[in-house]
Amino acid sequence: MSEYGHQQAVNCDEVEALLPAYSLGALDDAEVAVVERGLVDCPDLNSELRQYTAMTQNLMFTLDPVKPKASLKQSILAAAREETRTPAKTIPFEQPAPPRGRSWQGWLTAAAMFAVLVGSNLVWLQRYDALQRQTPVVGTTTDLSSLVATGPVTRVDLATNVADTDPTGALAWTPIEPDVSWVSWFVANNLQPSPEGAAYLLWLMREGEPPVRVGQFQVNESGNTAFVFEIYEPIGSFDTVQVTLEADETVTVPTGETVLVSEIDV
Amino acid sequence: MAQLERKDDQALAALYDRYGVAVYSMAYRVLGTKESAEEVAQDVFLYVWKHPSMWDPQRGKLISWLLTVTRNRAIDRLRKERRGGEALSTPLDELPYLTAQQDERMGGTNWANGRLMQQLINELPGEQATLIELAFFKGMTHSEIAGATKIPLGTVKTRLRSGLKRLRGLWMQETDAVKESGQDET
Repeated sequence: MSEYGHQQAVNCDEVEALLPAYSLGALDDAEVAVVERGLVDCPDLNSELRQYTAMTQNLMFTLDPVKPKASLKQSILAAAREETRTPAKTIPFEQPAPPRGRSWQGWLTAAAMFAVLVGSNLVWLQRYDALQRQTPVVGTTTDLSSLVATGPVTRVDLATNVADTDPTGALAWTPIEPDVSWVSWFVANNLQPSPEGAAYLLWLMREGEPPVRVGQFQVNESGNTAFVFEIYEPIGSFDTVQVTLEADETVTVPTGETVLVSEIDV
Repeated sequence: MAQLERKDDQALAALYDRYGVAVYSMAYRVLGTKESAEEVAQDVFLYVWKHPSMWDPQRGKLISWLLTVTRNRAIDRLRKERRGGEALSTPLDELPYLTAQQDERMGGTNWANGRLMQQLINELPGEQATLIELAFFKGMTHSEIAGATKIPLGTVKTRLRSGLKRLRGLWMQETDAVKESGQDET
């Protein structure tokens, strides 16, 4: 496990020391996880982070102006016209079959554990980029099933109501310890890149109860994402799974546009 | 943006006229080569062409969003190059180290803040400014900076933290002074 494993107690002084570099994006993944957990456990640090972030945003405007060659404008306009004539193609996220025979326990021990978003009932295990680093072939729910699942797999497919887009998603899970914990994996394809500052959030909803915010994620250049988390409640006990695009990534209830949704009827 | 939604290429031309230099300059600052900067600038304008609604005016100015998108894309490209084992496109000893001169053609409040930021950075020790440059404009983490500069990781962390803390202190002094002078005038 990483030196910043999720079981460690948060030291607010240590988190505070990481804030300057965090605001620049200069931290390694394990340190990012420490800060993101620390911002929950040490709420006083949020205002300090906002100060750093507001300051570092101004670094963008220290640019030395460089004039591009005159033909760039025409190239851009020509490409835009071509784009308009040719409808965008969706990029399938099918990749070669992954190596077989690796259990989810292998993922847990082989990888740094990410506590990007930790609720009382779930633990974030792998982000997409970490999955990619481990094996470049992870890409579909089936791929992940072969890597993660050792028992029966339950799956729901998510669809969209958003016009002119065709994202797809799937949430699958399998018991780790029956009636105690489950490992779950989520894959989505063809999502639009989220605007700066915004994020996709995955939610599990149950009528009459506060929503469970599973976590936030970004997508790669092709609009795809995949990640694994451990949860200590049966996913089948929830009514709905949905993905929203949130302008404020810190929200605790879904407020943004729902881009993927499915009832959980298993 | 509404015109872009209607796929009016004159709107794209106007957008380029207004922000083309800034977008290209950001891409060039990160990537260090004209060819790569042109490709990223083209990618950014095409992205806006295809997804104009991705900019939310309530979350900030268009120029801030454009520069953020450009920086992110350029850094992504740089990271891919690094993962591929290619050297940084700009040798470390040729980095501008955040000492660029400002150009009045890029006027406005944001650029005024940038000029102020530049002045404050110039007050930092050079090695701290260098690390801020590498982190912000090259998208490098502590570990990557240590690897690229051969400076011990602990020293990188300390210098970057000290530089940013000092910069934050200077920035707050200046912005507080501006606020106070504004109150005096009213």
